[in-house]
Amino acid sequence: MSGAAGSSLRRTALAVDRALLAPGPAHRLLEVRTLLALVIGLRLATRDWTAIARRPAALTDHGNVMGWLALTPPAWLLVAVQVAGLTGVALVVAHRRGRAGFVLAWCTYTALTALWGSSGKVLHNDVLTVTVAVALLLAADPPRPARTALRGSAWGWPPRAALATLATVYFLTGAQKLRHSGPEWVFSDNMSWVLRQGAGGSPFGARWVQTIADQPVLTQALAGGALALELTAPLWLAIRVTRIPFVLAVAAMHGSIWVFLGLDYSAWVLTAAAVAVPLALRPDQRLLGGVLSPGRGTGRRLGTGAGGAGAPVPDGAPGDEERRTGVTVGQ
Amino acid sequence: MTYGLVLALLLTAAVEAELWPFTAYRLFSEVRTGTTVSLDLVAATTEGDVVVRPADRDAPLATTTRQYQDLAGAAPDRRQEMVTAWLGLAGIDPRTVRSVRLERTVRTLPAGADQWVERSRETVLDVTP
Repeated sequence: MSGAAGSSLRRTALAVDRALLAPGPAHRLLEVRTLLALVIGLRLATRDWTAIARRPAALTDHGNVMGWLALTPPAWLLVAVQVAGLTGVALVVAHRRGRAGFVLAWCTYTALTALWGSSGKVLHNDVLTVTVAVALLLAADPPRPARTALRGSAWGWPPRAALATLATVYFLTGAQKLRHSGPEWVFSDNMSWVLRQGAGGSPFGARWVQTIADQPVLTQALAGGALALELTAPLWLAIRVTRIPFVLAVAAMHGSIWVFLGLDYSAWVLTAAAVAVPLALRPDQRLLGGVLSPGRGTGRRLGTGAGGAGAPVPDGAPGDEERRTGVTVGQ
Repeated sequence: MTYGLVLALLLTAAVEAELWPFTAYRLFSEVRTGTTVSLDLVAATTEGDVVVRPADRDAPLATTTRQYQDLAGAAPDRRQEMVTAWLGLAGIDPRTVRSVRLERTVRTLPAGADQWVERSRETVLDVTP
């Protein structure tokens, strides 16, 4: 690598690093954490987890984080874990011990979804939510009562880490298609056969899906669009103004998968929205007028982390990261 | 934390590890064609052959059929235990079953047709429950 190229790469890496770790508003952390907790709550509340107890031990696969559990948990225990998780979600939403509540919700959700998926087939429906939420487990609770006016490194990196995780996962789903199938994934009958093989699962019947499968230009366009969206996810999510369009695009992609094949990836859409929509706002803007991050404070900034203090700035001042990098990568 | 998470995701995908929630994110990554190969469990009962399918379609029960592929490599005791469990999920009394066959079936979809056609079926394994 030439010296100029190496220097340029170093500058880019430093700019990305600054953007990821720059101070951010505490209210943004609260918004992302609350929305992710609501996604977890929705998933916890809308499934009969006691089905896990009906699976014979002989057919339980142990290749996941809950693989250490030798016995099949009884139904009452599964319900107790579900209730504990929902209690955690309530704590986050109520902004009472939000971090502890989030950890509780995440742990119970991860345990239940791992047990649900212990049947031999890798289930991806909940894995994005579980993975993206990891970034927020270590995020400190902003101090009360002036939490929403504070800016600091401690509240800047967690939402951006969630965003980086989201971008990486979508990129990997596309990269694996290229790795295992190459351009043929798009420029062949692949998508037609995906539709024909899965048409029976469509909630609207198989006939119309088969009709679409017979349109090679349309199916290749669908495949190309999906692959391009996945591979370019890091670009869409790096730029503030394209984050909401990205959410709309993945909603269209996962929505079409449900319409065509009946596969439910709604948790992916909701997770993408929970992270990318708040981070699409300007630093001074609050999502839904501050419903998810109540309270307005004195406009203090803590520039070097949760414990450090910096010069006070008015609430809503432009973000440090914007002034440093001149782009809207951070927030 | 951010870099650790991203590196863990990239590494898991690179080595194709599957230890949920660590996954390689292989969603529809293989090219599909007009030929499908599937494994079926068929019970020979006193009333004829019955395809063994979990009666409850909830994911944790229905997706156990993915473990059919593990049967051939399992020890005899383990095979018997698994097959008996699947018969139970299908609501079939093991006492009425003489044997259970694991069958590998190849199907194709002819051009213009909307029904898959069975091209071949071979018995991979025979288990007495």
